[in-house]
Amino acid sequence: MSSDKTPSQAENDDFLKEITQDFIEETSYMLDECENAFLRIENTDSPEEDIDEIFRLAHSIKGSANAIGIKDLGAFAHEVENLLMIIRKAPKLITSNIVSLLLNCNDAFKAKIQMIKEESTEEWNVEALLEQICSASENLGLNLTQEVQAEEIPKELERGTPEIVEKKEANEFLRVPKIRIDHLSDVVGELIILKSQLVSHEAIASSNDVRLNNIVRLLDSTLRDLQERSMELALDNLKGLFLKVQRIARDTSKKVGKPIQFNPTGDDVEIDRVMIDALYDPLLHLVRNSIDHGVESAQLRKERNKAEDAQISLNARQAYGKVIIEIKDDGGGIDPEKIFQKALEKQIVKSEDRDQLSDEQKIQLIFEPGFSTVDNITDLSGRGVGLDVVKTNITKLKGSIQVESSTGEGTCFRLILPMTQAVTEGMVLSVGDQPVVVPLTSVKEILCLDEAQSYEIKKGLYAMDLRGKSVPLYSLGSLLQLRRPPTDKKTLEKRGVLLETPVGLIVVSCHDVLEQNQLVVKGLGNFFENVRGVAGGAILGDGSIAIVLDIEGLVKLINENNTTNQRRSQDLAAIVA
Amino acid sequence: MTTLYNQFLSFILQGQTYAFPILSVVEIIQLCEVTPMPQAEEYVLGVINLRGKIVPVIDARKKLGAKAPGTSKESCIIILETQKGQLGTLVDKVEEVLQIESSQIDEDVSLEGGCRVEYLSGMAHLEDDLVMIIDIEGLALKNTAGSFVADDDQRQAS
Repeated sequence: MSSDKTPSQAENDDFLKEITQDFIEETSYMLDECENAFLRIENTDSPEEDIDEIFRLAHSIKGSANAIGIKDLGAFAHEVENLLMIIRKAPKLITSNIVSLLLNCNDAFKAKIQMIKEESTEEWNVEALLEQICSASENLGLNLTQEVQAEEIPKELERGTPEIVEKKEANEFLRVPKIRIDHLSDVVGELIILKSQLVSHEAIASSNDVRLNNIVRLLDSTLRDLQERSMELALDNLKGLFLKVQRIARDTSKKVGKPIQFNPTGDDVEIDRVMIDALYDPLLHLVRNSIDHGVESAQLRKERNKAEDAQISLNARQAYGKVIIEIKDDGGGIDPEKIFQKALEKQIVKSEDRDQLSDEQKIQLIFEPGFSTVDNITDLSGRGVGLDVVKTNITKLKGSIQVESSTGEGTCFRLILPMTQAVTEGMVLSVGDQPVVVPLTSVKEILCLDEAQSYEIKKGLYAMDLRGKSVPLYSLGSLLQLRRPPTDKKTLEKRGVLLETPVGLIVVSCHDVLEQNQLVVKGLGNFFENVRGVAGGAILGDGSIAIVLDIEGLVKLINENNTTNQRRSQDLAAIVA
Repeated sequence: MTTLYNQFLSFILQGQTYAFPILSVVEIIQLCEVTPMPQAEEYVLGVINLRGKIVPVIDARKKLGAKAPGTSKESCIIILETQKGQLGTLVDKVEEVLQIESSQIDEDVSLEGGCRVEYLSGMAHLEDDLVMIIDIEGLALKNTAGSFVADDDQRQAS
């Protein structure tokens, strides 16, 4: 019967899948190590150890690729190994071009691993690269091409793979599927909610039983501990990310012909895994920006008596419960006047603002949508996106971005990020009897609303006077179109929250401000994809669900409301301006 | 042959018997506090806290075209597993688990029986009752998200 065959066939497939999975993980790890070593050998006088390391890794990759039958990868690794063999014998021959070539090979390896991962059937095209490797091998004068036999590989190199495994075991790392950690966090979150229900339960809150109260207190502290520890599981260090940025810095420096020295520090700082990927684009943009626009040309640096190599530093540290990442250059700094001029051309500011804005404020204009400091948009930093996109991305991660600059000495971009995305610091408001959470990072001020300050611009559109400035005022309930709208706006919505949004300050009115708390934001699943202004839901201490606001979405809602009535929005714009 | 595939959970909406395939039913819970969602359609009651998970709940009665919603002690929420995730539906009363053979199910539902046809996958004529079998994916997909998408398109077009 054919059913006999199927299970064993399936078993076989499962086994192949499993070892392929192992291979992918192992090789990805080794490729990262390789890249690290490549970048090191360029900046050291004694690269021997790193070359040995790379050689070992390349050899292991070749071995395991052949073992699981990925022939093209094995063959490619073989050629790379040949090249490495030569430079291992003569480290003096290493040039920046060779390093570039090897880095390209590393990229090709990574691309192949990605293809295996995605089970892609596309062709892995490395012909051109192979030619480059062969010609490089020949150019290096030593005609060691196809003849390298396994026997020739020194004994110590054969132990490459076990050594890596040993290293990992020494640090005692476990690979755990992310989903398991997520489930654990969910259960812990549930426990916390149950605990707050228990603690606030009448029978316990009013109990005089010392023993019972003790148990409750212990339960509370143990659960806090548990929550912190489960949160730590989601953290990872910045090593991989910094490595990628270093690579970008190197490539950019070569491309624009400005020699740099890249100094990464603090890559052992830990941050929520989900942020590591999300930080790549902003950091890439900032580092390119620093090299392309921040740093002067070598010629100009000479004239200014600066070292020929520009210093680009990438630093991460932890402070006041946040992770701070800085990208610093020792370039010419940002000229506030130039920025202002540019903003003027782009109609971001008006000429009468010139005296109103401090230098500091003028520099901040670089984050305005539609701003770009260089006229000819290069394919490096330009790409049609500006620093406003970086700012938006960082804001999405519940972080903020700052820039500091002193003319002639350099510029520093600082990202201030929460350690984890799982917990949000939020302000709980009430709209009618429904709790609504605003991310604390967007809240500027809590206001008491009274009629004297607010005025109606047009039917249904309000603004309020905030210390002499006119700020648009919206009712949160009607903006979100909540089911239970407040009946009498003026008497009920006595609180206003001043929010910082991508389009400037706005005030939203609500009935009350309940508390400020750490909340676990949960997604709403696939059913409410098209609900705007809502980022998710958070379960409060009493078990009820609060809607968590998405400030960007809220702005879109406002715009929508405005476009549905053009006349109204024009009136509003006139008042706001 | 008795398999899970021909078992159905029957419930009452406005006096009419309906049924969900039992394989799609996760659990039945008591009526609990429902948090309304902004911009939601009328039949969307909102979201509930199901042991730390946020699950949307719709009012099956409004969804299926029945009138006069109101809840009683017997009202409860049936949690369903759909392709879009878990979904709760408010019903008047849960009845029983029925054994319905495929031969008993009439898939021609063109005859409307007080219920909107697009959410039905068939009708079963049992000895003493007529049971409407609900197409769960239709209920989940067409309703909640579909109407939002339509709204969106209109807005973009204008």
